Amino acid sequence: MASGSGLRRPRGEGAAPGIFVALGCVAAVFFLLPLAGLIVHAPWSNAIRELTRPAALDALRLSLIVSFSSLLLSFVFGLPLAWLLSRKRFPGRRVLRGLVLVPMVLPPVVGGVALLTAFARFGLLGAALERVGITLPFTPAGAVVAATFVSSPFLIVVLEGGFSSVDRRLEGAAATLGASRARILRTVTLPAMWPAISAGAALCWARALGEFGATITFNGNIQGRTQTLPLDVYQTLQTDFDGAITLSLLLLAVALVVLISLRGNLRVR
Amino acid sequence: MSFLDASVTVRRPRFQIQTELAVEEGHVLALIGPNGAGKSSLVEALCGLIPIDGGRVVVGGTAWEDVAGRVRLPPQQRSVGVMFQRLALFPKMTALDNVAYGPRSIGASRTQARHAATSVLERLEAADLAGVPAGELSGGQAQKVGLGRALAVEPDLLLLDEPTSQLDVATRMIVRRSLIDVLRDFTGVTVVVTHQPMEAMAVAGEIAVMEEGRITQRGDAKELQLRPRSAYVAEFAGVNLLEGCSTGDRVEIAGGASVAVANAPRGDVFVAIDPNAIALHRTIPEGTPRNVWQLGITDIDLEGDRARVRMTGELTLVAEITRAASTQLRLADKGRVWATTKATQVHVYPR
Repeated sequence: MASGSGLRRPRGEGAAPGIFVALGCVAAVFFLLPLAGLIVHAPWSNAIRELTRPAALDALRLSLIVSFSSLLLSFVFGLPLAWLLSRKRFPGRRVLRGLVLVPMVLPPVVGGVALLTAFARFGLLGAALERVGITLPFTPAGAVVAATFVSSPFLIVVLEGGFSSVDRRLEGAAATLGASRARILRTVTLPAMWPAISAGAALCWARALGEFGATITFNGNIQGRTQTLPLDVYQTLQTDFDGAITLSLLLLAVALVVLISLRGNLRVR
Repeated sequence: MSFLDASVTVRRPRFQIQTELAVEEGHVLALIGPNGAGKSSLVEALCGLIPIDGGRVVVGGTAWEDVAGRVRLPPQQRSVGVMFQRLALFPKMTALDNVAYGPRSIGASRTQARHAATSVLERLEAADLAGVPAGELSGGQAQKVGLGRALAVEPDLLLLDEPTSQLDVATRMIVRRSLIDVLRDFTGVTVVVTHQPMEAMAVAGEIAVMEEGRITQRGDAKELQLRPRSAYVAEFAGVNLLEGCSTGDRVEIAGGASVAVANAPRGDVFVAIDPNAIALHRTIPEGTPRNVWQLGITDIDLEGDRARVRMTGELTLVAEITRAASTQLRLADKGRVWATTKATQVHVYPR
């Protein structure tokens, strides 16, 4: 008799539990609603005028410079650190790994205060930096430092996982074939961890682009110097709700363009 | 001094390798042994992927590693080609780029490296695979590319770790044949790790047996078959191995049985009996064979037209008879049989 056959579907292929569907839908709406609100409320007729304000253009330019510079810095210093954390046993490794995570859990405004205590004129390193002609607080360079402080941990954590996931036998095979360590890194290790590189870069860059608390605390909010897009959104919001919405949409658009291009790479795996 | 002259100690929490290995130029040595004997670790130590804790590795007069002399060349500076157990091909590179990787790494130009790789693949009759990404190769194809990659650096020492494992029988024959072809022209030293008796005998002139980190026996296939010195070697060579105490014409086996022998040394001895030299009967045999044991059949393996019959009783033996004889004796019904062999068919040698 075939009456029972309909019940014998393999597990995992049956209908999803109703409660999961319902809760999942709530979550989806929760993410979608604010974005829809931005689009619905946007003063589309004034959008061009709002976006071509000098302050908005300055903020956009600065945001792009700051976010990409901080991504670059995160790679230059974070990649070696991630390699050390993943591959080498040394005293204090666990402490160092914890230290890298601190900026991820620290409220950004506290990060800003902490950066002042380190790099302001009165700070631990500030006076020394001043003597060689480097000033960080309230400068564009300082905005890069603040963004890097909060965003680089995202890259480092993901890269460390990437280094750990690479098949060490491939690196060993390359070594027996005569490849130098640099060549092994370039031709075997990094290509194998490409998904981690691109995911880490996306997270790191997005965090740097959105950085607000540490930047405004460490650098203030100076148009053309330290006022990035999020800071401009905040300032515009005090007086001009429509303007803030337009800027928010611009920020959203920039983020989506970059993330989608990186996600495209992610799928290659 | 031999071309490969190694004396290797590697200490690990769970086991230790302590072994001497000398092989002449142009020779192929098969390294056999049970799982966990340390064969793969020895390969890793020879190519420099793991450091040795004692001894030295000298190839062609050059010290690659010498613990006393504080010499330790990294893998990059050793003229070595390794075919790893699970190959470790670079999955996203093509077969050609995999094979060209070594030459390119040791200084060849891009064109030279590709040229060298092409000729190696041609020699292995795998030129048609050149453009295929390694991750998409079938088992046999991947094994050939792995072999090609190890050969392309023209190494002094070629290490092949189970080159035909994980292949079906037909593919294994194909890969083994190209292996034999290639090794015939190879001038350096080759060490082949293998689990397969046929492969060891077909590929290598000499076989070394590694058990628990030590080389326990070494010799050609004939030597291993005639005089196995451990249960593993006996199993590998497919012969019966007993231990006992000899009086010259009789060996008392632990467990109570005794074996009649001819012109044997006295004292503690090994007794090797070729399964083909054992005859089986359902009734007490006529005439006077010197050795008769009544044993119970435990199981029968059929291989082609041969039947391997396992029996136990006062001693445990394997006999190999024709399938026709097995049917005639109705061995499939199990039960008891008389196993006989002539004293002159029994090899006895000191322990």
